[in-house]
Amino acid sequence: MRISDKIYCVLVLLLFSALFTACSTEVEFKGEELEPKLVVNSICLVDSLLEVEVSATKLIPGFESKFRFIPNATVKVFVDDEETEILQCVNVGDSVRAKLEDLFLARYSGKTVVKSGKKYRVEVSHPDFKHVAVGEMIGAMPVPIESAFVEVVKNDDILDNSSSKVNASITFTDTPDEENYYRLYVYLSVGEGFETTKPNGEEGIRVLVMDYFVNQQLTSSDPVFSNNNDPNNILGETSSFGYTIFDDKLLKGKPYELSFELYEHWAWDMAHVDTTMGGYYIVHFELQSITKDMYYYLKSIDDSNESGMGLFTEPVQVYSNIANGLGIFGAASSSTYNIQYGRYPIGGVDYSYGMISY
Amino acid sequence: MKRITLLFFITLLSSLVLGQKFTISGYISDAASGERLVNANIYETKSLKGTTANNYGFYSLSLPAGNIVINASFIGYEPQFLTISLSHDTVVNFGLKLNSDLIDEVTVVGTKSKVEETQMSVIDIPVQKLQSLPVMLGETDVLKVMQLLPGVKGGTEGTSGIYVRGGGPDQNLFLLDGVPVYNASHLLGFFSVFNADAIKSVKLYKGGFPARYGGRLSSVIDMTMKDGNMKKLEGNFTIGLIASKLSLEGPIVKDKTSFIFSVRRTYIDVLAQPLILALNANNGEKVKAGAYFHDLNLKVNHIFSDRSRLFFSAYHGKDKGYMGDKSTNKYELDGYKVNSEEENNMELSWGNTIASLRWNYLIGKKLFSNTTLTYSNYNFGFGMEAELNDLIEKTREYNFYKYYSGIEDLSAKVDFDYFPLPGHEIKFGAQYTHHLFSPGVTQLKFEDMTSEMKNVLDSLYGNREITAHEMAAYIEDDMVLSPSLRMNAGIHLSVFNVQDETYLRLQPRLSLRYKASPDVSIKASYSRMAQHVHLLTTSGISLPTDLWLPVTKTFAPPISDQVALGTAINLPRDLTLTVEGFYKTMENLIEYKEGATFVGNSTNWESKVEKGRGWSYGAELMLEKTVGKTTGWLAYTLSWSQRQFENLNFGNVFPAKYDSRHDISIALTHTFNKRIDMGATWVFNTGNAITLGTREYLGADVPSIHDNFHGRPGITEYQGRNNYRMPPYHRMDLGINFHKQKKHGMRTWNISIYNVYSRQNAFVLMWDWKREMHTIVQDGKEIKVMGDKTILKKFSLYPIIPSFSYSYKF
Repeated sequence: MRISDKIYCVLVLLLFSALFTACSTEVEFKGEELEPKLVVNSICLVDSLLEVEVSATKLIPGFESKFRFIPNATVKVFVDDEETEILQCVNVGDSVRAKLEDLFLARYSGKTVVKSGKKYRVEVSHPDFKHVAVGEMIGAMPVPIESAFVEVVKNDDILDNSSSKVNASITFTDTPDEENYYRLYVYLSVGEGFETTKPNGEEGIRVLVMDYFVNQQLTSSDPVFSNNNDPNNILGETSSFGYTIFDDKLLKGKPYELSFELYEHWAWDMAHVDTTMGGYYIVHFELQSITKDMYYYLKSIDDSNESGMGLFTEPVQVYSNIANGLGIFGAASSSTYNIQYGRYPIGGVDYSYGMISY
Repeated sequence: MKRITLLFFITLLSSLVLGQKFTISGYISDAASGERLVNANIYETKSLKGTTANNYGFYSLSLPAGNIVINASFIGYEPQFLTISLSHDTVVNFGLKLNSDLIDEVTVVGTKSKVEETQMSVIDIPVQKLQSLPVMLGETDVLKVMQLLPGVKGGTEGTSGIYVRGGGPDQNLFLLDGVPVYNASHLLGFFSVFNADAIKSVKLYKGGFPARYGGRLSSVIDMTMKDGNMKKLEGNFTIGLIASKLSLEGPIVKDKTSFIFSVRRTYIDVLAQPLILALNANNGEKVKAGAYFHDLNLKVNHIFSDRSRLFFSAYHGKDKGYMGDKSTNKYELDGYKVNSEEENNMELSWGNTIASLRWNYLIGKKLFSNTTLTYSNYNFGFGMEAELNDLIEKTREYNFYKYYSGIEDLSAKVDFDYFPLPGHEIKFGAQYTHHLFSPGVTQLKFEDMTSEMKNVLDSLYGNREITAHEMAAYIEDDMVLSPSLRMNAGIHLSVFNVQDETYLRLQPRLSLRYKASPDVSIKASYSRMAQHVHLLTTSGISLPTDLWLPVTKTFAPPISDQVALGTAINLPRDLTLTVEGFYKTMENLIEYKEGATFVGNSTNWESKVEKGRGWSYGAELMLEKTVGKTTGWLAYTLSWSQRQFENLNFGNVFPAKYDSRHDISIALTHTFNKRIDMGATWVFNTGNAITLGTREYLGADVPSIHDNFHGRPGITEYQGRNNYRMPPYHRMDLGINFHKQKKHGMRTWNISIYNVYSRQNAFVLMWDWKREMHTIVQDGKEIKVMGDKTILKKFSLYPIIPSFSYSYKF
């Protein structure tokens, strides 16, 4: 490059730098004094023990990097407005689940079992926190799955397997004259059989069992999911969401067949089950009737995950029904329905478990 | 309402039956250029009865028979007195001369003083003073001056639009020669689309709207383009650091037909391209990148007779940003040959095109008509394409993405100005507009081709075009009820038809002025405004990506009701003080749902937005000096602007993004002599409201019968929408002009400094991390450890920017 060209480049660079280079500087955070709040999380299944997790918020500015668990809180339980017990902390950061999640938890439970139609309130207090955090909910009523349907549509063209899919549906009757909220959960268990030689030298069959949990692979164009449409999904009219939740605005207390597609990659496994080799699959459907607050909480979490942190979006505030604190106090009442293809278990067959896919 | 209507007609009828009067009518023009002077004053010197010329310089005044002296005046011009014996209807055209000694005089030659005007909440932007105020990168800007007025707030730097009395950026009606302009900003708000060289007058209405205006909730900015010199050819060119412009005006047929033509273009892209190429010369890539805008104004008019005149005006402006690269990969590694070509391109563009054909016709001495056909188009597009060709395998991958949106209006309207008697100026008219909305369409193309197979996707997603019909009719009368009491009363009716739904909105308007003394008046106003278009804007940042949408069955027209009370006081030393308080409510506002963005159209846009309401209130003060060597104003606004949406912020009230408690602005110009003048501005605003997460907490596990778990999400707590304030914004600009008379014209050097003390105003605030030593307590001992500290960072755009420009007027 000639000297004159270099000078020209430097001049233009300087001009650009002066004009359009954004500079960043640290500024003092001038928010109000942000004392930590109690975080109370409890989503229980009906007919299960009432369990409450208690932790604390952490301030974003500063050095605090880990969430704090609160093991010595007082957790009072009220059933139908009468105090019934004080829950005890049974789990402080050493559970398998806590280790798996690399989290410290303070999980409280007692004898209270959540029942449908009962009103529950928890009051959580701790001397380090100014306010008593309060959550209220009424145990959800179950809505049974009346029937279910699964159909595997497989394209054997190895160059184009995009049309492989698993159509599914469940039928249930929405409870009339009530606002109902639902969560659909599906998981697949597949057994693939192999010929094997046992330690004693005999020929036998070994079945490798895979559990596939649905997290974000359910898609549907069913109108009941229209509320869940990711507004930023540009590739079609179907929904893709993590919690598969919906309300009953379109159901109106009538029987309804809810149609959806399972993860397309399941199609291959399901279509190639060889029952002669002990192969099988079970599709487990679980329809949870959930509390309204739980619905809003899950929906806001989902929206929050979808929105990211872009400059073009307004952050999503996650719903909380904990007065004087944060978190969620809700319940789900599950009904299940399984569709099985092939026999399971079969006596004499060696099953290998533990393969999990999300 | 019935009482007001009755009062209106009684006053009109009583005036009609009073004594013998004759009409003086005609035009008031610049004597040198023939340019009609908008809002020039004319009055009879004895009775002080007078009127104001309309937007086309026409006036009509009915006075009793006899010898009278009438005075015609306009700011910056020598007033003209004319004695006539009035015994029949008379046509008098005034040609006012520029006051060549204006600098040394302190003669009061203003437009109608604020004390006299019936209207409140209206400000005439001093176009002739724009050149003296500091300019950014050599570009005089009408919008930037407007942002210095009380009740008007600009966005942050790099954002577009103005925010008037707590309203949104879409609630301002920009009219250029009567045609709505949908996007008023170039280069992300750094420049407005209005070329000051082509503008004759600018009037801002913030409240007390006359009935002739409608369609937006918060303000009307009525701009008139120059008509073009009828006498001789004139020109003006300016060369700035990043833009240059040229204006030419003159007669096509002297005193009959004239034209004005202005054009601007930035050349950042041209300057930067060699640098970009040089920086990428060694990596084998051909890179192009840049951004520019250009615009042009054209106006031609022809005078058929004193009664008939035809105007054609047009504006076209476009912004474009682009980036692209092209590369070739050819090498051999371990016997594996690669030979491919790759090309990527990205383009962002937006722009307005407007045109109008207007016919002025003087039906009688007292009735002036104006028939107009208009066209307005705004469009925005964003496109990306990527192509990869494998020259060995003979395969091609091609991806194309394009998003576009727009709005197109065709309109016809007729307006009448009727001057039945002194003390009555009646305006009435009707308009029809055909709207075509393209609210956002995404086009996708994928091509994946090998020698054996071909996968192709070519689809359009998004919203279909929406057609809407809008009709409006209005009548207003600016009447003198008594020597001290004036009233402007009117009604605006709008009908909007979309998707088989028809909205009819009756919008009453009323302004009252009571003159308590020759120097003090008290004013009050009420106005209802309806708006039939929405602008969907993301609250994180304002960009031309904002989407214009019609009202629909689901989203009814926004309505505002505004009351204002104020006073105007003439003070010694040619100072005028205006103080106004206002309260405004806004219904049927829309905003994006939390988490939604402008891109993506899997669902109708209506699924992305929420409906709610807003209200704003505050007080404004303006101390102004319009004559003398030193002119300018001091403005202060104290205001609140809030919103409430059922499904946003959990239904709780939250501050609007541009809610600003304190706004202060000072604009001063001083003329030292004919060769040097200078200007200075200083602004201070309370920081904008943003949504900033301040705490984090653990989410809940969601159980199922099968006892699996997905992990607990970390959740950021936002203590409400727009819960945090950015640091205050303040900035000072300075500018100085050096004029010199040359042989063929006037040369001017302008030196300006934007952001004189280089205040780093926050454009965006974000959390960030830095490594830092800090003290922790471990086993009862304080120890120092290195840790990650979360800190708040502000990103600033523009530091001190000196600039200069050279202009020559011939």
